[in-house]
Amino acid sequence: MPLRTWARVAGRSLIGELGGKLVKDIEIAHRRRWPERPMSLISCSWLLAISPCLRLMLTHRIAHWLHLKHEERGWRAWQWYLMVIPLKLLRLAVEINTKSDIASGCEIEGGVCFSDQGHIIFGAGKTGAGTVIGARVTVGMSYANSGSPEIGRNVWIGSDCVVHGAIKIGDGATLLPGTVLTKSIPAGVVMQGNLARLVLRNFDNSELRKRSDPEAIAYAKTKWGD
Amino acid sequence: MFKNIRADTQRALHRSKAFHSIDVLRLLWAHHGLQALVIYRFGRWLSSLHKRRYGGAIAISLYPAYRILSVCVRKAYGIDLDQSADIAPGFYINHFGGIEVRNCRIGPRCTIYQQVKLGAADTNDSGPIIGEGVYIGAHAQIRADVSVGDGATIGAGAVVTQDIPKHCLVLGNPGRIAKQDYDNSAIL
Repeated sequence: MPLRTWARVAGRSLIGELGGKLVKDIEIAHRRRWPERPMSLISCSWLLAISPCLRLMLTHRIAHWLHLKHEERGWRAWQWYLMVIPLKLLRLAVEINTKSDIASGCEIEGGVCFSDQGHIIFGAGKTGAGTVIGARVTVGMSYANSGSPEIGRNVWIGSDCVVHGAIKIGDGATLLPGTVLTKSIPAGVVMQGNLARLVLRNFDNSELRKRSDPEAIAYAKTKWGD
Repeated sequence: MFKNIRADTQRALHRSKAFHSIDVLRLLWAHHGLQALVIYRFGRWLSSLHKRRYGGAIAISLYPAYRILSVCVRKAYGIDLDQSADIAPGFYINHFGGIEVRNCRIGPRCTIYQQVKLGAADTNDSGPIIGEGVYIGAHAQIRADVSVGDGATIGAGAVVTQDIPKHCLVLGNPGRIAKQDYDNSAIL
Protein backbone atom coordinates (compact mmCIF):
# COMPACT_ATOMS: atom_id res chain seq x y z
CA MET A 1 0.00 0.00 0.00
CA PRO A 2 1.44 3.41 -0.89
CA LEU A 3 2.41 5.79 1.84
CA ARG A 4 -0.29 8.32 1.05
CA THR A 5 -3.06 5.76 1.53
CA TRP A 6 -1.53 4.76 4.84
CA ALA A 7 -1.46 8.36 5.91
CA ARG A 8 -5.09 8.78 4.95
CA VAL A 9 -6.10 5.68 6.88
CA ALA A 10 -4.13 6.86 9.90
CA GLY A 11 -5.61 10.32 9.55
CA ARG A 12 -9.11 8.94 9.66
CA SER A 13 -8.33 6.46 12.37
CA LEU A 14 -8.27 6.69 16.12
CA ILE A 15 -5.08 8.68 16.58
CA GLY A 16 -5.77 11.23 13.89
CA GLU A 17 -9.33 11.82 14.96
CA LEU A 18 -8.75 11.92 18.70
CA GLY A 19 -5.31 13.49 18.78
CA GLY A 20 -6.46 16.93 17.74
CA LYS A 21 -9.31 16.99 20.24
CA LEU A 22 -7.17 15.68 23.06
CA VAL A 23 -4.45 18.26 22.42
CA LYS A 24 -7.06 20.97 22.90
CA ASP A 25 -8.20 19.33 26.15
CA ILE A 26 -4.64 19.22 27.42
CA GLU A 27 -4.12 22.84 26.42
CA ILE A 28 -7.09 24.03 28.47
CA ALA A 29 -6.28 21.84 31.47
CA HIS A 30 -2.66 23.05 31.34
CA ARG A 31 -3.72 26.69 31.29
CA ARG A 32 -6.07 26.15 34.21
CA ARG A 33 -3.56 24.27 36.31
CA TRP A 34 -0.40 26.26 35.68
CA PRO A 35 -1.40 29.64 34.22
CA GLU A 36 2.11 31.02 33.88
CA ARG A 37 4.04 27.90 32.89
CA PRO A 38 4.72 27.50 29.15
CA MET A 39 3.49 24.32 27.50
CA SER A 40 6.14 21.75 26.71
CA LEU A 41 6.08 18.09 25.85
CA ILE A 42 7.31 17.16 29.32
CA SER A 43 4.76 19.24 31.20
CA CYS A 44 1.94 17.98 28.95
CA SER A 45 2.82 14.35 29.46
CA TRP A 46 3.20 14.95 33.20
CA LEU A 47 -0.25 16.53 33.22
CA LEU A 48 -1.69 13.56 31.34
CA ALA A 49 -0.16 11.30 33.98
CA ILE A 50 -1.43 13.15 37.05
CA SER A 51 -4.78 14.51 35.93
CA PRO A 52 -7.78 12.17 36.34
CA CYS A 53 -9.98 14.40 34.19
CA LEU A 54 -7.70 14.01 31.19
CA ARG A 55 -7.63 10.26 31.69
CA LEU A 56 -11.43 10.32 31.73
CA MET A 57 -11.46 12.42 28.58
CA LEU A 58 -9.04 10.11 26.76
CA THR A 59 -11.09 7.04 27.62
CA HIS A 60 -14.28 8.74 26.59
CA ARG A 61 -12.81 9.78 23.24
CA ILE A 62 -11.81 6.19 22.48
CA ALA A 63 -15.19 4.88 23.65
CA HIS A 64 -17.05 7.45 21.57
CA TRP A 65 -15.01 6.66 18.47
CA LEU A 66 -15.78 2.97 18.90
CA HIS A 67 -19.44 3.79 19.55
CA LEU A 68 -19.67 5.60 16.20
CA LYS A 69 -17.87 2.73 14.46
CA HIS A 70 -20.35 0.30 15.93
CA GLU A 71 -23.28 2.40 14.76
CA GLU A 72 -21.90 2.46 11.23
CA ARG A 73 -22.05 -1.36 11.26
CA GLY A 74 -19.15 -1.53 8.87
CA TRP A 75 -17.29 -3.62 11.40
CA ARG A 76 -17.45 -7.31 11.83
CA ALA A 77 -18.53 -8.63 15.20
CA TRP A 78 -15.22 -10.21 16.13
CA GLN A 79 -13.37 -6.92 15.51
CA TRP A 80 -15.85 -5.20 17.77
CA TYR A 81 -15.45 -7.72 20.60
CA LEU A 82 -11.69 -7.60 20.24
CA MET A 83 -11.69 -3.89 21.05
CA VAL A 84 -14.64 -3.74 23.40
CA ILE A 85 -13.27 -6.00 26.12
CA PRO A 86 -10.02 -4.07 26.75
CA LEU A 87 -12.00 -0.86 26.52
CA LYS A 88 -14.44 -2.10 29.17
CA LEU A 89 -11.56 -2.83 31.51
CA LEU A 90 -10.01 0.57 30.83
CA ARG A 91 -13.32 2.29 31.44
CA LEU A 92 -13.85 0.38 34.66
CA ALA A 93 -10.44 1.49 35.91
CA VAL A 94 -11.13 5.11 35.02
CA GLU A 95 -14.65 4.94 36.48
CA ILE A 96 -13.30 3.71 39.79
CA ASN A 97 -10.46 6.21 39.70
CA THR A 98 -12.60 9.28 39.04
CA LYS A 99 -16.05 8.02 40.17
CA SER A 100 -17.40 9.48 36.96
CA ASP A 101 -19.24 8.05 34.03
CA ILE A 102 -19.57 9.61 30.60
CA ALA A 103 -22.05 7.92 28.27
CA SER A 104 -20.24 6.76 25.16
CA GLY A 105 -22.82 8.40 22.91
CA CYS A 106 -21.92 11.94 24.07
CA GLU A 107 -20.49 14.21 21.43
CA ILE A 108 -17.84 16.34 23.10
CA GLU A 109 -15.85 18.88 21.10
CA GLY A 110 -12.15 19.36 21.70
CA GLY A 111 -11.17 21.59 24.60
CA VAL A 112 -13.66 20.59 27.30
CA CYS A 113 -12.44 20.41 30.87
CA PHE A 114 -13.88 18.22 33.62
CA SER A 115 -13.06 18.65 37.27
CA ASP A 116 -10.27 16.51 38.68
CA GLN A 117 -12.37 15.73 41.75
CA GLY A 118 -14.71 13.62 39.66
CA HIS A 119 -18.16 12.26 40.68
CA ILE A 120 -19.46 13.44 37.31
CA ILE A 121 -22.30 11.58 35.60
CA PHE A 122 -22.46 12.99 32.13
CA GLY A 123 -24.96 12.18 29.41
CA ALA A 124 -25.32 15.36 27.38
CA GLY A 125 -26.08 15.06 23.70
CA LYS A 126 -23.61 17.70 22.54
CA THR A 127 -21.02 19.75 24.36
CA GLY A 128 -19.28 22.77 22.85
CA ALA A 129 -15.62 23.67 23.06
CA GLY A 130 -14.30 25.64 26.03
CA THR A 131 -16.88 24.29 28.48
CA VAL A 132 -15.70 23.74 32.04
CA ILE A 133 -17.57 21.28 34.27
CA GLY A 134 -17.13 21.11 38.02
CA ALA A 135 -17.14 18.26 40.51
CA ARG A 136 -20.25 16.22 41.44
CA VAL A 137 -22.21 17.38 38.40
CA THR A 138 -25.03 15.38 36.85
CA VAL A 139 -26.03 16.07 33.28
CA GLY A 140 -28.63 13.91 31.59
CA MET A 141 -31.25 11.85 33.46
CA SER A 142 -33.07 10.90 30.30
CA TYR A 143 -34.60 7.57 31.32
CA ALA A 144 -38.21 8.67 30.99
CA ASN A 145 -38.37 11.59 28.58
CA SER A 146 -35.68 10.24 26.23
CA GLY A 147 -34.04 13.58 25.60
CA SER A 148 -30.65 14.76 26.74
CA PRO A 149 -29.37 18.31 27.30
CA GLU A 150 -27.28 20.17 24.76
CA ILE A 151 -24.54 22.38 26.13
CA GLY A 152 -23.18 25.29 24.09
CA ARG A 153 -19.66 26.65 23.93
CA ASN A 154 -17.77 28.34 26.77
CA VAL A 155 -20.27 27.30 29.43
CA TRP A 156 -19.13 27.21 33.06
CA ILE A 157 -20.97 24.66 35.22
CA GLY A 158 -20.12 24.87 38.92
CA SER A 159 -19.92 21.98 41.33
CA ASP A 160 -23.02 20.09 42.58
CA CYS A 161 -25.13 21.14 39.60
CA VAL A 162 -27.87 19.00 38.10
CA VAL A 163 -28.95 19.58 34.50
CA HIS A 164 -31.69 17.32 33.22
CA GLY A 165 -34.33 17.06 30.56
CA ALA A 166 -34.20 17.78 26.84
CA ILE A 167 -32.96 21.37 27.20
CA LYS A 168 -30.44 23.69 25.59
CA ILE A 169 -27.83 25.76 27.39
CA GLY A 170 -26.73 28.79 25.34
CA ASP A 171 -23.13 29.75 24.61
CA GLY A 172 -21.27 31.37 27.46
CA ALA A 173 -23.88 30.64 30.13
CA THR A 174 -22.86 30.25 33.76
CA LEU A 175 -24.38 27.88 36.32
CA LEU A 176 -23.30 28.81 39.83
CA PRO A 177 -22.58 25.92 42.24
CA GLY A 178 -25.61 23.97 43.43
CA THR A 179 -27.96 24.86 40.58
CA VAL A 180 -30.71 22.51 39.45
CA LEU A 181 -31.61 23.42 35.88
CA THR A 182 -34.59 21.95 34.05
CA LYS A 183 -35.37 24.65 31.47
CA SER A 184 -33.56 25.98 28.42
CA ILE A 185 -31.51 29.12 28.96
CA PRO A 186 -30.21 31.69 26.42
CA ALA A 187 -26.59 32.66 25.85
CA GLY A 188 -24.60 34.60 28.42
CA VAL A 189 -26.89 34.32 31.47
CA VAL A 190 -26.01 33.44 35.05
CA MET A 191 -28.31 31.00 36.87
CA GLN A 192 -28.40 30.12 40.54
CA GLY A 193 -30.43 28.15 43.04
CA ASN A 194 -32.26 24.90 43.41
CA LEU A 195 -34.95 25.39 40.82
CA ALA A 196 -32.72 27.79 38.95
CA ARG A 197 -33.38 31.51 38.94
CA LEU A 198 -31.87 34.07 36.62
CA VAL A 199 -29.26 36.22 38.34
CA LEU A 200 -27.64 38.22 35.59
CA ARG A 201 -27.67 38.67 31.83
CA ASN A 202 -24.76 39.19 29.45
CA PHE A 203 -22.09 38.03 31.86
CA ASP A 204 -18.61 37.27 30.57
CA ASN A 205 -17.46 34.07 32.30
CA SER A 206 -13.97 33.87 30.80
CA GLU A 207 -12.52 34.83 34.19
CA LEU A 208 -14.26 31.88 35.83
CA ARG A 209 -13.24 29.42 33.15
CA LYS A 210 -9.60 30.41 33.40
CA ARG A 211 -9.27 29.67 37.10
CA SER A 212 -8.96 26.34 38.82
CA ASP A 213 -12.06 25.03 40.59
CA PRO A 214 -11.63 26.24 44.21
CA GLU A 215 -10.46 29.66 43.08
CA ALA A 216 -13.35 30.02 40.67
CA ILE A 217 -15.88 29.11 43.38
CA ALA A 218 -14.29 31.62 45.76
CA TYR A 219 -14.44 34.22 42.99
CA ALA A 220 -18.12 33.48 42.37
CA LYS A 221 -18.81 33.77 46.11
CA THR A 222 -17.21 37.20 46.35
CA LYS A 223 -19.28 38.31 43.38
CA TRP A 224 -22.69 36.96 44.37
CA GLY A 225 -22.46 36.28 48.10
CA ASP A 226 -23.43 32.77 49.10
CA MET B 1 -30.90 -13.24 51.27
CA PHE B 2 -31.26 -15.01 47.90
CA LYS B 3 -34.91 -14.05 47.59
CA ASN B 4 -34.04 -10.40 48.11
CA ILE B 5 -31.13 -10.51 45.69
CA ARG B 6 -33.35 -12.13 43.07
CA ALA B 7 -35.90 -9.34 43.47
CA ASP B 8 -33.15 -6.71 43.11
CA THR B 9 -31.74 -8.39 40.01
CA GLN B 10 -35.16 -8.64 38.42
CA ARG B 11 -35.69 -4.97 39.08
CA ALA B 12 -32.34 -4.09 37.48
CA LEU B 13 -33.10 -6.32 34.49
CA HIS B 14 -36.43 -4.65 34.05
CA ARG B 15 -34.83 -1.20 34.23
CA SER B 16 -32.20 -2.00 31.64
CA LYS B 17 -34.84 -3.56 29.39
CA ALA B 18 -32.96 -6.85 29.16
CA PHE B 19 -34.64 -10.18 29.60
CA HIS B 20 -32.09 -12.81 28.56
CA SER B 21 -30.54 -15.02 31.18
CA ILE B 22 -27.00 -14.01 30.09
CA ASP B 23 -27.88 -10.45 31.05
CA VAL B 24 -28.01 -11.48 34.71
CA LEU B 25 -24.30 -12.27 34.54
CA ARG B 26 -23.62 -9.06 32.66
CA LEU B 27 -25.44 -7.03 35.29
CA LEU B 28 -23.65 -8.72 38.19
CA TRP B 29 -20.35 -8.00 36.43
CA ALA B 30 -21.02 -4.44 35.30
CA HIS B 31 -23.74 -2.93 37.49
CA HIS B 32 -22.06 -1.22 40.43
CA GLY B 33 -25.31 -0.57 42.28
CA LEU B 34 -26.33 -4.21 42.15
CA GLN B 35 -22.93 -5.34 43.38
CA ALA B 36 -23.15 -3.00 46.34
CA LEU B 37 -26.64 -4.24 47.09
CA VAL B 38 -25.60 -7.90 46.97
CA ILE B 39 -22.85 -7.21 49.49
CA TYR B 40 -25.27 -5.30 51.71
CA ARG B 41 -27.71 -8.23 51.62
CA PHE B 42 -24.87 -10.59 52.49
CA GLY B 43 -24.07 -8.49 55.55
CA ARG B 44 -27.71 -8.43 56.64
CA TRP B 45 -27.89 -12.19 56.22
CA LEU B 46 -24.81 -12.63 58.40
CA SER B 47 -26.32 -10.55 61.18
CA SER B 48 -29.53 -12.63 61.07
CA LEU B 49 -27.63 -15.94 61.24
CA HIS B 50 -27.32 -16.13 65.02
CA LYS B 51 -30.82 -17.56 65.36
CA ARG B 52 -29.73 -20.78 63.66
CA ARG B 53 -27.65 -23.62 64.98
CA TYR B 54 -23.90 -22.92 64.54
CA GLY B 55 -25.01 -19.64 62.97
CA GLY B 56 -22.75 -17.59 65.21
CA ALA B 57 -19.67 -19.53 64.16
CA ILE B 58 -20.53 -19.16 60.47
CA ALA B 59 -21.20 -15.46 60.90
CA ILE B 60 -17.90 -14.85 62.68
CA SER B 61 -15.93 -16.71 60.04
CA LEU B 62 -17.60 -14.91 57.15
CA TYR B 63 -17.69 -11.47 58.74
CA PRO B 64 -14.14 -10.41 57.67
CA ALA B 65 -15.02 -11.19 54.05
CA TYR B 66 -18.06 -8.96 54.31
CA ARG B 67 -16.03 -6.14 55.86
CA ILE B 68 -13.40 -6.26 53.13
CA LEU B 69 -16.00 -6.36 50.35
CA SER B 70 -18.02 -3.50 51.79
CA VAL B 71 -14.93 -1.33 52.20
CA CYS B 72 -13.97 -2.10 48.59
CA VAL B 73 -17.40 -1.07 47.32
CA ARG B 74 -17.41 2.07 49.42
CA LYS B 75 -13.99 3.18 48.27
CA ALA B 76 -14.26 2.08 44.65
CA TYR B 77 -17.80 3.07 43.76
CA GLY B 78 -18.70 5.54 46.49
CA ILE B 79 -21.85 3.59 47.41
CA ASP B 80 -22.23 3.43 51.17
CA LEU B 81 -25.11 1.13 52.18
CA ASP B 82 -24.82 0.95 55.93
CA GLN B 83 -26.11 -2.05 57.89
CA SER B 84 -28.27 0.27 59.98
CA ALA B 85 -30.48 0.84 56.94
CA ASP B 86 -33.38 -1.52 56.39
CA ILE B 87 -33.89 -1.95 52.65
CA ALA B 88 -36.81 -3.98 51.33
CA PRO B 89 -36.36 -6.18 48.22
CA GLY B 90 -36.54 -4.68 44.75
CA PHE B 91 -34.20 -1.78 45.44
CA TYR B 92 -32.46 -0.18 42.47
CA ILE B 93 -29.40 2.07 42.45
CA ASN B 94 -28.76 3.89 39.22
CA HIS B 95 -25.19 5.06 38.61
CA PHE B 96 -22.75 5.39 41.47
CA GLY B 97 -20.74 7.88 43.50
CA GLY B 98 -21.57 9.74 46.69
CA ILE B 99 -24.49 7.53 47.75
CA GLU B 100 -25.08 7.30 51.50
CA VAL B 101 -27.88 5.20 52.94
CA ARG B 102 -27.92 4.75 56.70
CA ASN B 103 -30.35 4.74 59.61
CA CYS B 104 -33.52 4.56 57.56
CA ARG B 105 -36.26 2.23 56.45
CA ILE B 106 -36.98 1.85 52.75
CA GLY B 107 -40.01 0.12 51.25
CA PRO B 108 -40.02 -2.26 48.28
CA ARG B 109 -39.38 -1.18 44.69
CA CYS B 110 -37.60 2.12 45.35
CA THR B 111 -35.12 3.78 43.02
CA ILE B 112 -32.24 6.03 44.00
CA TYR B 113 -29.67 7.83 41.91
CA GLN B 114 -26.14 9.08 42.39
CA GLN B 115 -25.24 11.51 45.21
CA VAL B 116 -28.40 10.64 47.18
CA LYS B 117 -28.06 11.02 50.94
CA LEU B 118 -30.59 9.17 53.08
CA GLY B 119 -30.56 9.32 56.87
CA ALA B 120 -28.28 11.14 59.25
CA ALA B 121 -25.05 9.58 60.48
CA ASP B 122 -25.06 10.91 64.04
CA THR B 123 -28.54 10.38 65.48
CA ASN B 124 -30.23 7.78 67.64
CA ASP B 125 -33.60 8.40 66.03
CA SER B 126 -35.28 6.06 63.63
CA GLY B 127 -34.37 8.18 60.62
CA PRO B 128 -36.49 8.67 57.51
CA ILE B 129 -39.15 6.13 56.63
CA ILE B 130 -39.68 5.73 52.91
CA GLY B 131 -42.71 4.03 51.44
CA GLU B 132 -43.24 1.73 48.51
CA GLY B 133 -42.26 2.62 44.95
CA VAL B 134 -40.56 5.93 45.76
CA TYR B 135 -38.35 7.58 43.15
CA ILE B 136 -35.49 9.63 44.58
CA GLY B 137 -33.66 11.69 41.94
CA ALA B 138 -30.00 12.57 41.75
CA HIS B 139 -28.44 14.75 44.48
CA ALA B 140 -31.58 14.54 46.64
CA GLN B 141 -31.17 14.60 50.42
CA ILE B 142 -33.46 13.21 53.11
CA ARG B 143 -31.64 13.75 56.40
CA ALA B 144 -34.49 14.55 58.79
CA ASP B 145 -36.84 12.12 60.54
CA VAL B 146 -39.64 12.36 58.02
CA SER B 147 -41.89 9.82 56.36
CA VAL B 148 -42.29 9.71 52.61
CA GLY B 149 -45.54 8.21 51.34
CA ASP B 150 -45.99 5.44 48.79
CA GLY B 151 -45.37 6.36 45.17
CA ALA B 152 -43.88 9.76 45.97
CA THR B 153 -41.33 11.35 43.63
CA ILE B 154 -38.41 13.32 45.02
CA GLY B 155 -37.02 15.47 42.22
CA ALA B 156 -33.35 15.93 41.45
CA GLY B 157 -31.53 18.05 44.01
CA ALA B 158 -34.51 18.26 46.39
CA VAL B 159 -33.88 18.50 50.13
CA VAL B 160 -36.82 17.00 52.02
CA THR B 161 -37.50 18.50 55.45
CA GLN B 162 -41.18 17.68 55.98
CA ASP B 163 -43.50 14.70 55.75
CA ILE B 164 -44.54 13.88 52.20
CA PRO B 165 -47.99 12.39 51.52
CA LYS B 166 -48.61 9.67 48.96
CA HIS B 167 -48.10 10.25 45.22
CA CYS B 168 -46.59 13.74 45.51
CA LEU B 169 -43.86 15.40 43.49
CA VAL B 170 -41.30 17.27 45.61
CA LEU B 171 -38.89 19.80 44.15
CA GLY B 172 -36.42 22.39 45.35
CA ASN B 173 -34.44 23.30 48.42
CA PRO B 174 -36.19 23.34 50.91
CA GLY B 175 -38.45 20.74 49.31
CA ARG B 176 -41.96 21.88 48.47
CA ILE B 177 -44.78 19.81 47.07
CA ALA B 178 -45.02 20.87 43.46
CA LYS B 179 -47.79 18.51 42.39
CA GLN B 180 -50.31 16.18 43.98
CA ASP B 181 -51.21 12.90 42.28
CA TYR B 182 -48.02 12.59 40.30
CA ASP B 183 -47.64 9.22 38.57
CA ASN B 184 -44.04 8.01 38.69
CA SER B 185 -44.55 4.61 37.10
CA ALA B 186 -42.85 5.76 33.86
CA ILE B 187 -39.59 6.77 35.54
CA LEU B 188 -39.45 4.26 38.38
